[in-house]
Amino acid sequence: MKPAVNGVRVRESLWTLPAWDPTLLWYAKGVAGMRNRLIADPRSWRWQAAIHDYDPDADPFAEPGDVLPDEAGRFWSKCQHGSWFFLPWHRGYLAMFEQMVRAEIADQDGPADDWALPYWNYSDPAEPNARLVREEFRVSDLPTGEPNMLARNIDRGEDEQEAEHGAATGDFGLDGFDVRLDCLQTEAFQTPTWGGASGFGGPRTGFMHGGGTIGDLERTPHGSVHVAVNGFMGAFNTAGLDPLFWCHHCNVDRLWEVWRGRGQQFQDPTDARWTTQVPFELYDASGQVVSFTAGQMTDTTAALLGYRYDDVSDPFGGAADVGEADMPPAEPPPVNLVGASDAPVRLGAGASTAAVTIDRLSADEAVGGAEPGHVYLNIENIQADRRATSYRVFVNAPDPDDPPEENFAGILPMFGVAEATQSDDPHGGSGLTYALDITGLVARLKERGQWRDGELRVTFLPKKRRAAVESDAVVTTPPDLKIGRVSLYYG
Amino acid sequence: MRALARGLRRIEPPLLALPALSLAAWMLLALGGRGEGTFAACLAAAGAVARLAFGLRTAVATDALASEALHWAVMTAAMMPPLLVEPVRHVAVRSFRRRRLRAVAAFLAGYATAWACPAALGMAAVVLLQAAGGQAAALAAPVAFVAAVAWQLAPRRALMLRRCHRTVPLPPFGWRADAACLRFGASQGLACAAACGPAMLAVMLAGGHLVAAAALGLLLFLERGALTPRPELLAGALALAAAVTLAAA
Repeated sequence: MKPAVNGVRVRESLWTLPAWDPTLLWYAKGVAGMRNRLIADPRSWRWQAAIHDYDPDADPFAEPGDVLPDEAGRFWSKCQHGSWFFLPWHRGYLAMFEQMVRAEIADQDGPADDWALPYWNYSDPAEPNARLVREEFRVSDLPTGEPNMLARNIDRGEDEQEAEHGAATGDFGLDGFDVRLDCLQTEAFQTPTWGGASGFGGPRTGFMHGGGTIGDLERTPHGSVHVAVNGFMGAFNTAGLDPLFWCHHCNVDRLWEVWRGRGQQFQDPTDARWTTQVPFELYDASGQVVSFTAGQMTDTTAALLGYRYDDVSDPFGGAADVGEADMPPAEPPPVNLVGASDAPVRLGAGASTAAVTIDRLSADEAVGGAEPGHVYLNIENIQADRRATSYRVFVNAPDPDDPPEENFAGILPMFGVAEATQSDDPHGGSGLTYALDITGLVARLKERGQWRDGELRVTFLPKKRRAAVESDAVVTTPPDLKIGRVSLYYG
Repeated sequence: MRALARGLRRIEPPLLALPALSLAAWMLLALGGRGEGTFAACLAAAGAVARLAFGLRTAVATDALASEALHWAVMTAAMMPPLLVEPVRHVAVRSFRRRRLRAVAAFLAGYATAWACPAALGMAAVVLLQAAGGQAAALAAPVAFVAAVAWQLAPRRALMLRRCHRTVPLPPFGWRADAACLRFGASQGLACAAACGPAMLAVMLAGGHLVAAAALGLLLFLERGALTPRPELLAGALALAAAVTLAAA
């Protein structure tokens, strides 16, 4: 645990900490204190998780004597997803959670002033175990013999076999695709509300508890790690119950800092509709309601947040400088539909391929015969009534059943697909919609002679869970998992 | 003004048509009035029920029903377009540029068609109650406002409101694309009629006054824009309206 300097605490990488470092030991003790509190207490573990999302019928810690707070409507189920508020809201959420843990640590006479949430850097190329879950989140007891609440009664893995294997080895099947950092290359933070294009942070929206197009960072690695770990982490309404959730989101938050540091062109929105016009509310550890806006979340060392990361180095070694004249616009211009599939695409246990007809007239109209500045693949209205595994997307793969990585376009994590499909979802059951920037991929396909002007073939390959890989069994997917439409946009 | 002009330039023509349609309808309401309709309703009162019993063709000949139908149509055209920005934008962006106007037109046609049935029932209720006169007519508005309050707070209405934010995949070409836009419009129209219809009926039973309709339209627009709506706000306004109309009865 690094000491705080001038009140600014240091959030460290989990994998740099020695076994049962004080950061981890006190995290476990803090979580234990929070888990002892009743759900109606804003400092309780369940209240903190419920802020993200809550379903009383799906609460694994529900007790017969539970008294849900009157304020649940005001504070619970408020996580911002599919929105440019995804990052700032989660930053504030984590900061208040960190306060709660520190308050528990203080109650137990621990190093509350220095303690900061550690982050799980699963993408670290220098750490061979980066994608594994550390032992401290798996063993039953602390070194002192007390129960370890970082692991006790925490569901992970898709099934019992996966849970047992993961508990024993730390391997929950995260692979290289799940933790790719392509999102850091996206220069635009926001995209227009009307969709089509992708952006690092998400589309311009109002208050959004789900339903919008997913931003690049929210999609991967955020969504793909949620789906890979599964268990509590696999659903909106239980994710916050896993202590790993907070370390995962701490890394997501850190990646926002990494992105901002890549170069001048990587800028947060300055639009007042982001910076000041939408307030969010949370309790702090003293019992006061804190109201914050996205604009107040841009400096992590400011009083409300009070932390910095030990490492925000650019994994791509820095982006090329751009002059003032080449600065990208705050929001990309509207994009134009140039092609789409004609029917829904059923996703199953094997590869599925969609034919996207490119309309020549629309393509010419969109770019006037020139090469498009940007090409976006949209996967629209994905619906299923249950959780689903992640799907990898490939474009114009020579062999759809065994597509090479050079045709890889992105991952569809399916995190929240069941919630987004329910008719009482805030968007009436529209499902999930993703936009993948395939500009670079299209250029490479053209160089290799794998591009045809009239049609695109998009392949969806399910990520096999561990059990399926070992037993060569068929991947279990929801029978009604389908994509409404696959479409192509030029910008 | 410059910011408004910049904002307008960024809006696609199909979206600009929505506020234009709404504005035109409000102006028509402001200039048209209700005098001629009320007079015709009085003249037709005695035979209103019998005429309806013989079917629509006979009923259309009645000035009261025709006037009411026109009033409902213009009122819907005034109040609803601002609520349609989101779905119309979805239809426009998810269609090829050359098909956009056609796609939006199909959507609006489906929407209007879906509204027609509940609107017809609503206007028939207004005409019949006006024709009946007396206590029934006097209490119709406050009763309708109270019912609207109850509906406003019902979980089922919240579900209808969420359906208004729903998007659907649209086939890109040919008659299937047109049919999908029509169906989408119809589903939005039904959800909208379910969510907003009872409050609109109450306003119409209270005389359909321009200010009341405009206030309701504004509250519905604000509610639609808030993705975590607070139903108690509109319920409070409707309850106030119930009290005012009861006092006036």
